[in-house]
Amino acid sequence: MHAGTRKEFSQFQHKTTAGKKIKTGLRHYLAISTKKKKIVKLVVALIATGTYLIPVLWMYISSFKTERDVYSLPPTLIPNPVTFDPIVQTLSSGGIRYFFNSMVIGSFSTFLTLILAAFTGFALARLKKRWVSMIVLVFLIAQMLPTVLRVTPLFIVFNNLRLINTYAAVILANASLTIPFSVILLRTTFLATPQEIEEASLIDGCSHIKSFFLISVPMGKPGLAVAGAMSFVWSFGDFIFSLSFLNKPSMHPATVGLYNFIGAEATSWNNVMAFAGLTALPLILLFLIFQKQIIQGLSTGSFR
Amino acid sequence: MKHIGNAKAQRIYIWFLLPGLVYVLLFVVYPIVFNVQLSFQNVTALNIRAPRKPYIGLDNYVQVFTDPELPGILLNTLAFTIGSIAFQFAIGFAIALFLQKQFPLRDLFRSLIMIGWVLSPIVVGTIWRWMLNSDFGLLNFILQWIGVIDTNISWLPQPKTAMTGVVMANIWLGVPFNMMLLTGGLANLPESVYESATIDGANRFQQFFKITIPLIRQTIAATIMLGFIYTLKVFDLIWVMTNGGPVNATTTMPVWSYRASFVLFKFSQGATISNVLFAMTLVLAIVYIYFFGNKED
Repeated sequence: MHAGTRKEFSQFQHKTTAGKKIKTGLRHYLAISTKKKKIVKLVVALIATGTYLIPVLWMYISSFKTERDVYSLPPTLIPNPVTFDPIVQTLSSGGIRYFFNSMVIGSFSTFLTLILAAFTGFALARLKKRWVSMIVLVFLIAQMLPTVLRVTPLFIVFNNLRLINTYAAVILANASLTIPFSVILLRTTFLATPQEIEEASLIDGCSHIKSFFLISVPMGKPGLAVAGAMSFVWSFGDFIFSLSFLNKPSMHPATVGLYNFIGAEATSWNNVMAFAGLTALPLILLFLIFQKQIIQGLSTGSFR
Repeated sequence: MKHIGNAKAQRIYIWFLLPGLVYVLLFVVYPIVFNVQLSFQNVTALNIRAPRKPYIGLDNYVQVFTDPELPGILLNTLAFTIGSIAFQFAIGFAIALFLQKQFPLRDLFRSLIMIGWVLSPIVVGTIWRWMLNSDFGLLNFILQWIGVIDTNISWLPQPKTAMTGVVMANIWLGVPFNMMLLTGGLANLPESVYESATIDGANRFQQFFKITIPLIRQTIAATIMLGFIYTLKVFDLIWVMTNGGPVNATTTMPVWSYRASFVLFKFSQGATISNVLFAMTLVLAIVYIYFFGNKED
C-alpha cells in the first residue's frame, strides 16, 4: 500500500470508526480516489517540470529556426520551417574544433582527478590517525572556495612556467576544484564499502596496491562513477580558466567559443542557440546515463 | 581489522594519501598564500615577469577599501546572493515537497529538473540572454501575454533591471541543487509521525509547520548556508550575461576581482579583492562545517 493510500485509509477509518465493516466498499473508494489524485499530481508535475524546462526547450526550438523565424513576433512555438542550418553552420565554422578542445580538457581533467582522488579518498577512509579529520577539513574547504581566487595566482605561476596556451594549464587548474570534491565523495564511498574483503585479500598475501585495484576500486565503482561524471561536467563547462589561460582561438573550449560568438556583432540568436544546444548536449546525455548514481551520490554525503 | 589497522598498512596508506594532498597543497593552498603575497606587491602586466616585484605594504587594501565603487559592489553581491537564495530555496523546497508524493513517473520528473544543474553556467547565461532579449525575448512576450507588463522591458541593458535579470538566471540554475539537498532531508522523515498526526486531526498546514519544518531544520539551515557559499562565488553566469555592467550594476566581488586582473591587468588589485572574498567565504565555510560538516566523525 502506498503512503498516500495509507494516510487516507487511516483518515477514513478515523472518520467512520467502523473500518472493518465496510472494507470492500472502502477498497473500491480508495482505488478510485487515489487513482484520480495520482493523475492530478501527474498533471501538476508535468506543468511544473515543463515550466521549469522552458529555457532549455526554447534553446533547442530556437536552434531549429531560420533567422527570419527566430525574430518573428509573436514567437513561433514550432520552427517554421524546421531548418538544420544553424547546427550545420556551428559545426562547420570551427565548432568541431571547440568541442574537441572541450573533450580534451574534460577527459584529461577527469582522468587526473579519478586517479589522484581514488587513492587519497581511500586513504582517508582507511587511515586511523587523529589528524585525518584535519585533512578532510582542508579538502572540504578547498571544494567551497571560489575559483576566481585561484585564477590570478595560477595565471602568474603558469606564465612563469610558460604553460599559458597549453591544455595542461587548464586541466591542472580544473582539477583544483574536482579533486577536493572527489576526495570527499570517495572517502564517503570507501567508508561504506566492507573492509572484510580487503582484509581477507591481504591475509591471502595480496599486496596493498593490488588489493586496492582488484578489491577496493571495483567496490567503490558507484562513487567513482559520480566523481568521474561530475568532474567531467565541471571541466567540460569550465570557462574562467580557459578564458584566462588560453588566448589562441584554436585551443578554446566550447564555453569560451560560445562567449566570443555572442560578442561578435553579426551573430543571430538561432545560431547562438544552436551553439549553446550543442555545448549542452554531451552533459545532458552524460547526466541521463548516470542520473541514478549522480542523484544518489550527491544526496549521500558529497556536499556535507 | 589486523591488516588494515596495523602500523605497516597505515604507513602504506599515508603514501596513498599523498598524491591528492600534494596536489591540493600545490594548486589550492599555495595559490591562496601567493594571493596574499601578491596583495602586498604591485604586480601588473608590465612587471609580471620581473624577477623582483616591489612590495607596497597595505596600499592595495587601502585602495580597495576606499574605492568609491566598493559600497555598490558589496550591495550588488548581497542583492545577488540573497535574491538568488531566497527564490532558489523556496522553489526548490516546493518542488522537493511535491516530489515526495507518490505518483507515476515521479523519478523521471526529478531527473528532468536536475538537468538544469548539469548545464554549464555559460550555457545557462547564454540561454537567459536570449530569454531576456528586449525585443524578441520569450520572457517579455509571456509577461505581455499574461498582462503583467504593457511594454517590453530592456532587462539586461538597463542598470535598474540588469540585476533582476541575472538573479533570475541564477535562481533557475540553483533550483535543482536546493531541491536535491532538501529531498535528501525529506527522505529521512518517518512516515509514522504523519500518520499519527493525521489521526490526531492535524491538517496539512499544521503538519508542515509543526512536523516537517522542525524535523528537517538541520537540512534547511545547511542548504541555505551552502547556498551562500556557492552563490558568493558565481562568476561565469554574470560575466557571460552582462560582464558586470551596465555601469557596474551587476558587478559582484568575483566579477570585480576578475576584471581587475584580466581586463585592467592589475594582478595585485585582483588578488587583493579576491582575498576579501576569500575571508568572506572562509567565515561561511567554517560556520557551515562547525554546525553541519563531518557528521560521520
